[in-house]
Amino acid sequence: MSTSSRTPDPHPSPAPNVTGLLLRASSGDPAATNELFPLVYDELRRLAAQHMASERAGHTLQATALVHEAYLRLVGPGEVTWVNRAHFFGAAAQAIRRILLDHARGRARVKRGGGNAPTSLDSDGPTLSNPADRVDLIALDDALERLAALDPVKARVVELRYFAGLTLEQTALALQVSVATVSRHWEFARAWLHADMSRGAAP
Amino acid sequence: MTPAQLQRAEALFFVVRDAAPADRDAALATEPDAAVRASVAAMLEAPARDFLSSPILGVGVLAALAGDADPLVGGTIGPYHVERLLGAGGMGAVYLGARADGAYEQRVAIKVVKRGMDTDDLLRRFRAERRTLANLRHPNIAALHDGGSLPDGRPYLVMEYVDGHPLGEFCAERGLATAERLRLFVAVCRAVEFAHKNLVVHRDLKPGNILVTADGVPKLLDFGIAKVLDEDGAMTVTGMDQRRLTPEYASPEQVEGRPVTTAADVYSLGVILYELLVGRTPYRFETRSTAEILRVITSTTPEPPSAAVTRASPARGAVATTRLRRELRGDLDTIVLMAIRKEPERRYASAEHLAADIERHLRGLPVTARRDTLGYRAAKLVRRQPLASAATLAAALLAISGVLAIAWQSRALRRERDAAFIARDQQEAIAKFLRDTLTTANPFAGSDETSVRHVLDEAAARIDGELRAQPVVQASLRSAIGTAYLGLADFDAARTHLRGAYEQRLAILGPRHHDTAESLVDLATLHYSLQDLAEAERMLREALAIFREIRGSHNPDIARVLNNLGAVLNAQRRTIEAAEVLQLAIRMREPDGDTLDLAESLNNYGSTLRTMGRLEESESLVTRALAIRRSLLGEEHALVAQATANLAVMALARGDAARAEPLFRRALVLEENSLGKDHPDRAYTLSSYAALLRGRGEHATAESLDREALRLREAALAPHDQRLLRSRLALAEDLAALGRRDEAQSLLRASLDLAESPHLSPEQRRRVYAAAAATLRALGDATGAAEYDAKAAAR
Repeated sequence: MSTSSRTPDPHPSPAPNVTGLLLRASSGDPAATNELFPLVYDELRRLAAQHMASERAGHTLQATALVHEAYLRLVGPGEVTWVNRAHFFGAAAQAIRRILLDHARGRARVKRGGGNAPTSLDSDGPTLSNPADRVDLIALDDALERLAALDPVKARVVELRYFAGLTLEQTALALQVSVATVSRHWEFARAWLHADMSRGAAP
Repeated sequence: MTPAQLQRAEALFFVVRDAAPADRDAALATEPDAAVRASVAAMLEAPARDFLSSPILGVGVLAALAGDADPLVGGTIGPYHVERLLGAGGMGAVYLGARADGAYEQRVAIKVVKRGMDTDDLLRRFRAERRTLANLRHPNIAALHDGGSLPDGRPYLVMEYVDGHPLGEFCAERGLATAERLRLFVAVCRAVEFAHKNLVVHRDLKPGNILVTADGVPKLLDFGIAKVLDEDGAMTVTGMDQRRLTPEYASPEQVEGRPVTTAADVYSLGVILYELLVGRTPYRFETRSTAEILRVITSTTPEPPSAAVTRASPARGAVATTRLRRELRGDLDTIVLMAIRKEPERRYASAEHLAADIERHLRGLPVTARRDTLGYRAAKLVRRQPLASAATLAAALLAISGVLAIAWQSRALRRERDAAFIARDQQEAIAKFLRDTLTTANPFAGSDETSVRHVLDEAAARIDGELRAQPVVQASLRSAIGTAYLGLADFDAARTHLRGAYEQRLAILGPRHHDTAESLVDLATLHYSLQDLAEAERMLREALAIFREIRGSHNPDIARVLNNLGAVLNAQRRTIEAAEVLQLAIRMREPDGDTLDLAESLNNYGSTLRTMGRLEESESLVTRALAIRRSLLGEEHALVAQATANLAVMALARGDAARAEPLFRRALVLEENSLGKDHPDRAYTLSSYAALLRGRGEHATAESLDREALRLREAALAPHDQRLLRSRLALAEDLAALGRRDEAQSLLRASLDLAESPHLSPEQRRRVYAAAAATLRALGDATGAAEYDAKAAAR
């Protein structure tokens, strides 16, 4: 089967005012957060599709790079402070987490349109580049939900670090806490999730 | 754990982590809360090391994010343009496609199997299944359209695209009440039943395979796919492939690797019903290990739905638990638990039985085993004898040379010390007998019946004297000769030799011997031909018991006996029992591919479905039987003629005389060429065709056909045989319509006297009465006709 010469979708125009949404979100407007999510979600998918379509599809391309690329395309350089960017990365991390989870469940549910895949193919999840790092995404998602119920900040740290690939410093900026605090949250959260998931599916 | 406990755990975690190893226990012990202590101990005991240490990344993630950015998307697969990725998983990926050539506006789902599965094998299985799956046209089953392989070798399957939601999700989103769920489920059962009747088992039924469209129409996906994708058609305990088996819905026989039948689908349906009613599946697994799955499924008892529902069922939404429990207690508990019994044979006999019981429940009727209500719909149709095989010269010779094989088998009973000598002696004896027999046949005499007859008579005359020293061989040859006479419809000669063979075998080999049981099967065929159905059934059941004892329950002998038993049961109008055993026979014969044996069972099952009034299903089976026979035997063969005649009768039953007529004519020609003019099997086709003509008012032609049928039956059958009597009554009906009332009256009287013969079963008598009523009506005797109609309907 010849590879299709599918051209990337042109960037939608006019560009949605993501900067405005970010500012509203950081001033505590929940509607803005809700509007932000699908924009980030779609942009991530579009970028990933471009990378997949171009033959050089990076084995090395990290989610981090993808998220930053999406940020640059939607918001542009400069201007917005890290405080405001926090909402963007939060949305991106959640979007990636959700997409991968859906994928792991073999659902591949398209976000809009709500069509279900008429397939019985059983899931074995996306293949991660490093097999030693193979993580059961469904179990991780369950464990993350449990952690979020006890300490939402720790769960967000994990999301930003693992799914959006933020550094400790970036995470600290986004969450407006010290690097030391993020580091402490991160270490504890990993240990807690690891123990929780090793324990199996006990409630 | 509470947020407060988590806080304490966090503090403790860092204290203990920073403590020297020797002091750790002491540090832990400072925490009074045992749950917190245990939690921290667990965290430190198995350090997280690299867990989550680097961000999720890689090409797999990118592909997942891209979703539809697969290289196949935007290209073509076969004639289809690939629009987007629908889903992906262990077996490969599924794409949404549309006809690229614009031939139709048809959207399809294309399943591309991932690399690593054997393309050749898969395609071979696909081709083997293709015809069956192509027949599977049902509004509630997503059709399989096509298959092929990509240039890179990966195989793909093209299926109907269904835009819908999984069954459970649909019910939950719409907040369907119990009764609505049940109705939807009944439609699902019916679709499964349809597939089973077409001999396709799903093997992987689960809610994800049942989508419901926005209009509320359920569609079953992937019928037959499991078999195509499965390497060898069976899974073993150790090889249980968890990617392909969904433990929640898998039956005990599936996880144990035992043969999978329609009963496995009934089980899965039961689990799906459980989940629809309760909101969760009946079993929970501690781990996903094979041992655990096996243990739970095969040896734990599920709670009845009404008990399980007390555990809060989010999927059942706002329905109050007490009300739900009340709805489920009783009938629905019983129905669900019956469907998911561990022993396949104790579940509902079919998806239809399950559906019927649910419908009874919905209508407020008591839930019971389903009673036969379909029996008499097609009662007016004359039935063919599916067992009687025609004899051509080739068939007769084959039957005789088949003895060689039988004698070979009989080596098994040799005594150790002189085994080789006995075997050699037997073979020599057979060879000599065959040689002598064949020399009596004039090789230039052609294949007309006279020469077959001549060969047989010669052989029969010599067998007593010449083979006295070899009684086992003698019995085998007798059996072959008797079978050949049966094919020629010489029932007296057949009886002499078949009975002789049976008695000889009983005396020498004993009752529990393969060959003795085989003789019973032969005799049963004779009794069947003579319409002595009770005796035929008794003998078949005895043979079945013997074969089971000496050979187990899954082998060609069992398949043959079940096939014959099905024909006998159908002739007795015990259609449900007949359908059951014939399905079993088909399942046993199917793995050998398209054989004559399989065609025979398909044909018999088709006849049974016709008796039940299920004409469309029947037609598809008989059509398939005909195709198999044509491809193996060519056109000019008695078995091809038989299937053609069956198709004609089917078309007539559907009221399609235009289609029936050329088929009848074709069958008559084929029969005359292959069976000869005087074979009684022709009578069936003649009288069925006559019925068509009579219905069109062509009484003169009908009369000549009925007269010919009667002549053949008078020559071959006992005077009280119901088929003969009904032939005579049909002729009387023709004559009455032609105004020859006296002749009609005398034929009628003669028939009615014989109808009281004690040799007739009540069922056979009723069929004669029904024919008599038609004759009386043709004579203008409405009162008499009504009287006989009543007698025909009386039980």
